[in-house]
Amino acid sequence: MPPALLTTSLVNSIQIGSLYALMALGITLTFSVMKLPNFAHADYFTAGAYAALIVSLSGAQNPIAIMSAAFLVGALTALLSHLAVFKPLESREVSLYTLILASFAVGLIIRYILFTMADYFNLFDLRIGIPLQVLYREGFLILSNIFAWVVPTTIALVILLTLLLNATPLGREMRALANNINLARVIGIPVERVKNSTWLLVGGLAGVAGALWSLQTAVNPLMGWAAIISVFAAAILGGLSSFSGTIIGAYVVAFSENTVILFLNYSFGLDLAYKPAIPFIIIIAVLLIRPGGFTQLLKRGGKLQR
Amino acid sequence: MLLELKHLRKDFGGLRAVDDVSLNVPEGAIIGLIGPNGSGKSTLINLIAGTIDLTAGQVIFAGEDISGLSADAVFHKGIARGYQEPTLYFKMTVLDNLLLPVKGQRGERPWYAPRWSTWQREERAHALAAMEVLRQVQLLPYYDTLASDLSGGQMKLLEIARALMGAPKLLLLDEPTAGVAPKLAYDIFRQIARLRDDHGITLLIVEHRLEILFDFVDYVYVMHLGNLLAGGSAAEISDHATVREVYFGD
Amino acid sequence: MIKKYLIITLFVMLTISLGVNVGAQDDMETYVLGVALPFTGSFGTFGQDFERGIDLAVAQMNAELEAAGSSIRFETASADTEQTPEGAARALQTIVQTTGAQVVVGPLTTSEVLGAKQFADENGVVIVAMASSGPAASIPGDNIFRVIYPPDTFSSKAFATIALERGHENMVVLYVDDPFGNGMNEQFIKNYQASGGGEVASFGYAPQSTELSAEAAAVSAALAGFGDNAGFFCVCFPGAAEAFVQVAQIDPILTSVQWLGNEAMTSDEMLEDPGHAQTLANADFVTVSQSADVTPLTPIFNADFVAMFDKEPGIFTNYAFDAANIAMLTMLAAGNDGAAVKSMLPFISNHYIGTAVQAFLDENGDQAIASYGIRQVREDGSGFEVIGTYDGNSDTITYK
Ligand SMILES: Nc1ncnc2c1ncn2[C@@H]1O[C@H](COP(=O)(O)OP(=O)(O)O)[C@@H](O)[C@H]1O
Ligand SMILES: [Mg+2]
Repeated sequence: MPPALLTTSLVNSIQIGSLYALMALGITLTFSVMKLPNFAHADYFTAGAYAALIVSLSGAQNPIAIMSAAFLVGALTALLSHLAVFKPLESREVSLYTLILASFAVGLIIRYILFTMADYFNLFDLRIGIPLQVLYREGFLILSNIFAWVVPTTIALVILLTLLLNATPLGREMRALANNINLARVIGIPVERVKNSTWLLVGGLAGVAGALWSLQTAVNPLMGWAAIISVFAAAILGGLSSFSGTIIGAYVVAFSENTVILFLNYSFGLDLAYKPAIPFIIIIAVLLIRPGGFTQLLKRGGKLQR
Repeated sequence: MLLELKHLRKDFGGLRAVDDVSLNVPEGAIIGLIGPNGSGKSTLINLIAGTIDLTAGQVIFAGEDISGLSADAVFHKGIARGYQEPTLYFKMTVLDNLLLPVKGQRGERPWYAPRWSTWQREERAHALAAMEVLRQVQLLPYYDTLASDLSGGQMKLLEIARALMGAPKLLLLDEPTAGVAPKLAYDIFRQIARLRDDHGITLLIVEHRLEILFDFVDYVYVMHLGNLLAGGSAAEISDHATVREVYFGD
Repeated sequence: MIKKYLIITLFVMLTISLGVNVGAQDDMETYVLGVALPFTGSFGTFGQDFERGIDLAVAQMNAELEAAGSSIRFETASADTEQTPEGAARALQTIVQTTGAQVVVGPLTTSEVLGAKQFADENGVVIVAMASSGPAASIPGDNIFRVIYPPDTFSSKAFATIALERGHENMVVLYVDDPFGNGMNEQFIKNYQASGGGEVASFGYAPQSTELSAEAAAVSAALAGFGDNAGFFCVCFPGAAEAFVQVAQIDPILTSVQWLGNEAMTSDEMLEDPGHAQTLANADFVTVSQSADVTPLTPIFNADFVAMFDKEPGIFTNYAFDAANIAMLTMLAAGNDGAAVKSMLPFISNHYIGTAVQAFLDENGDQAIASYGIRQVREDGSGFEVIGTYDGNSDTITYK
C-alpha cells in the first residue's frame, strides 16, 4: 500500500471513527440504561444535522451556536420519542421485539417529517457553509479544518460524558438504572426523571454528531439511516455495554471501511463497492465469535457499571 | 399502630402464598416473623414494600392506606427494606450505594449535573451523612470498596445502612443473618437493635436464627402455609405447642 | 366488529362514488398515463421536476383534446421509485394495479428501468423512459423504450476521445456501481484502449453512498501511481458527486489533474459551493451531455413551464415533457392498450420532434440519434459553457 494512501486513509479513519463513536456511545447508553436497541437514533442524528444546517443557513457561522442548536434539537427529538412512544409501550410491558419495531417506526416518522420539511424548503444535499481548508500539511499527512473540528470535539465530549457518568449524581443514578432498575425503584431513585435525562443526553450527542457530520458531507434526510449500520456495528463491537469498547469499536469500523478496504482493494483488487458490507460482516462476526464484543476483553475498563 | 395488615392475600396462579394475614406492628417495636421455608414470609414482606401486587387486603401505614402503591412510592412513605439475598449495586463503591437513595439531589438534574460547582457542596454534605451512617454500622473503613468485595455479613450491614439513608420509619428485614458467620450474626442484631434505640426506627424482621432473634424481639408472629399461625412474646412462642409441632417438628 | 363494518361501508361508499364518477362522464374516456420517478433520494429533485414537465404535457394535451371536441382525456398516476430497482418495480406495480395504466413514463436511472422491466414485460405495460442511458437496458423486443436520451455507448466514446485529445496516457475512473455506472465504465475502457489509450484503473462505489473519503483516497493513489499525464473520469450520481468533490478539493493529486465527468456532476448545487466550483474549474472539468441543440419548441416549452409553475425547468425536464408527449400521441393513435402501444411507439417516435432532438429509435427501442454538447466549467466557476459538440453517429467532435 503506498504511504500516501495509508496516511490519508488513516486520517479518514480517525475522523469518521470519531463521528461513529459519538453516535455509538448514545446507542450503548440507551441500551444500557433503557434496555432498548434504538434504531431511531439514526434520525436524532439527522434532526441534529438539519438543525445545524438551518442555523448556519440563517447566517450564524459560530460553531458553538451551530452545535448547541444541534444538541438541543437532537435532545428534544429523543425525549419526545421516549415520552410519546417508548414510555407508554414500556408501561405496557411489551416485548423487546415490539420495542425494536417501534424504534424503527419512530425513526421512519422522524425521517419523513424531515423529508417533508426538506422538500418544502428545498433543503436536500446542502452543506454547512464552512469551507474546507488545509490546516496542516507535512509530507503525505494533510489535516483539514474539519478534522480539527471533529476530532477535538469528539474527545472533549467523550471526556465530559465519562465524567458525567462517573462523577456526578446523575451519572451514578444512570449507572444504577443500567445495573438493576428494580432495585433503583425500591431505594427511591427517581427512575423516570433519570430516564428523561438520559434521553436528552443521548439525543443531544447524536445531534452534535449530526452537526459535525454535516461539516464534511451533505445533509439529507437519509444521512443518519445511511450511517446507522456502521454505528450499530461499533456499538455491538463494544458489547452494547462498555464505553471504551464502543469507542474502540467505532474506530475499528471506520478503520475497516477506510484503511482495510483500501488495502484489500490495492492488494487483492477487492471492489470498493463492497464497503457497505463491512459493518454487516463485523456484526455477524461479533455475534458468532464473541457476542460480548470488546467488553469481554476489557472486563472492568470503561464498563458502564464502572 | 405504625403498620396494620388487614386480611392480606396473595395468589401465585393456583398457589395461595399468603392467606388472610392480619397483623399489627406498633411504633418503636421490634417484631419477629418466623415460619418454615415457603410459609410466605418473604412474600408478605414484598407485599408490604410494594414490590409485588397484592391479591386482596389492605396495608395501612401510619394511618394511611398504602395498598397497591409502587415500590418507590412506598419507599418515599418511609418504609425501607433489606433482602434475603443481599441486593446491592455490587459494581459500585459502598459510598455510592449509600448516596443513591438520597432524595432530591441537585446534581441528578441534567441542567445542574454538568456544572460541578452547583452541587459539590450538597454532595459533600450527603457524603458526610453517609459516612456517619457507615460509622454506625462499622463499615466506615470500606467506604471506597466495591460492594462486591464485602463479606456476606458486611453486605447485610450495607443494606441496613442504605435503608437508614432514607430516614425510614419502618424497616423490613428479610433474614438479615442468612449466610453470615454466627458471631457476626449476633453483631448484626446488635446493630439492628440500636437502630430502634438510637433512631426510633420500627423493625419487622424475618429470621431463621430463633436463638438470636428471641433475644431482641418484643413480639413474634408465626406463619405456616401462608396463614398466620400464632403470635406472642418470644417466651410464649417457644412454648407454643402447635408452633413447636410445625416449626421444630416436635 | 364495528370497525369491520365501518371499513366495509367505507369501501362500498368509495366504490359507489367512483362508479358515480364514471357514470357522470360516461361519454368521456380517460387514459391513465403512469409516472414512475424517484421523488426521494439524491435524484428526488429531478423526479419532482420531471413530473412537472409531464403534468405540463398532459395539461396541454387535454386542452387541445377539449378544443377539438375529443372524448379522450389523459390523467396521470404517479408513484415514487425511491431511486432503487426494487422501488421502481413496486412503483410500477402500484400504478398498474390501482389504475390499470398501460403506459408508464419513467423511471429515471437505468437500474430503476431494469428493476421495473420484468413486471412491464410480463404484464404488457409499456415503459417510456426519458433519461436512462445505460447500455444494459438496450434489449431488442422488450417493453422498454428510451426515446430521447441515446445509450452511453455514444457518450463513452466521446469521453474516451476527449481523454486522448487531452493527452491522458492513463485514466482513473470512479463510477457508481450500478448498471449505468458499470456500462459507462466498461464502454469507456473499451473505447479508450481501442483508440490507443493506456491503462485504466476503475473504482466502483456503492450507489447509496454519501461519504466517499475512502474512494477519493483510492483514486488519488491510483493517479499518483500513473504519474504525469493521467486523467480522471468521474461517473457519479449527484449526492455522491458532491461528497466526492468535497473531499477531493484538498487532495494534492486530485487537484492537479484534469477531470471528465457525467452530467449529473454539473448540477447547480455543485457550483453553488464556491470550493466545489473552484475545484472543478481548476480541473478543467468537461462533461459530454445530450444535445445542447434547441428546436423551435424549446423556448415555448420553457415559457409555458414558467407560466405554469413559476420556476425555470431543471436540466432534462424537457425530456420528460417529450417522453410524455410521445406516450400520449401513441395512445391516441393505438388506443389505451399496452400491446398496441408497444407496436406503434417506434413509428410515432420516429415522427416526433420535440424540445430537444429528433427521436429515432434503433432495434432496441433506444434513441439512435446521438448529438451531444461538450460543456466546460467557466474559469471563475460561475457556470458551464458549451465548448463544442459531439456527433455520436459520425463520431466527430467539433470545437467552437
Ligand atoms: N414469584 C413467585 N411466583 C410463584 N410462586 C412464588 C413466588 N414467590 C414465592 N412463591 C411461592 O410462594 C410460597 C411462599 O414463598 P416465600 O414467601 O418465599 O416463603 P418464605 O419466605 O417463607 O420461605 C412458596 O411456595 C413459593 O414457592
Ligand atoms: Mg423467604
